[in-house]
Amino acid sequence: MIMKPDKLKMKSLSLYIPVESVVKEITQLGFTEVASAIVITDAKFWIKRVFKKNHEYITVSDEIGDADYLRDPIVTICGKQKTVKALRKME
Amino acid sequence: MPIYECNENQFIENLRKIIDTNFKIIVKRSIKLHDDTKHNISRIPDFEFNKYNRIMRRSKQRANVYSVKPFYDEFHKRFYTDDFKVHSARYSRMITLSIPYFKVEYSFDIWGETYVYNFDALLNPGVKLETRKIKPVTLNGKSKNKSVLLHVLSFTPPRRETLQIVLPQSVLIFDVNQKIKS
Repeated sequence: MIMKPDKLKMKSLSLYIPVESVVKEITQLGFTEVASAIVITDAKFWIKRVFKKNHEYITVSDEIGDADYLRDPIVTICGKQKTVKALRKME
Repeated sequence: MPIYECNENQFIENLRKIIDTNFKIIVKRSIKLHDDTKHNISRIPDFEFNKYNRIMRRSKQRANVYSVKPFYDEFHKRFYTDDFKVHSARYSRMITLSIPYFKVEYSFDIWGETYVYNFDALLNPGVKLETRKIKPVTLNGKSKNKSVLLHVLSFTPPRRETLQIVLPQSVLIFDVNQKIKS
């Protein structure tokens, strides 16, 4: 179980921008990818990537497989207010 | 008691709204390993199937899958010969290679209502050339184990971080087996 200090904020964003741009922004904030897995939810396949910086975590879930609609990567943050703010700018 | 299914975005945002009101909340978590035919070699997208293409081939997603080399499935303790039908699109429940997965479920209750988010995380496949002892099948039933070099398919669990939702300290997480509906 990963328990983080209370000063960390939670936020989940559904971003209508390419996942590459999201990952670029996250790495520019100093996060590094620590794990990834293929997950299935909502009857869809997603690649879930976990990024870490000290006690802060960001997960990026991006749909994989054939789809002819606009995909929206789901970004979930448990991090400092400034991290949440930086990523909310992409909304 | 109504149960509401949420996606990741909805679940986290609902939880965040509760945390922001300084409400104490308990999140229940269940992580269980499954190996049924829910996720099989034919249904996975090409992105994931490419990890198996040293030993298997298929024309498209949800089609028949054939072995391209003899291989041993270490997880299910099963040997496949060359050009063997690993998955049948017609008899998909009987003839298939299932992919083991972790079923992860997060839920919390508030004012008599349950909010649930669940997902399945596939185990990571690995294909290696290894020396294995196999017993050849003979008519008289008397045969000795033979050491042969062959492809071995194994599955390893994904890293812990991918199965967990990182939550602030104010949220209590209780690990449970399953929710019994009343």
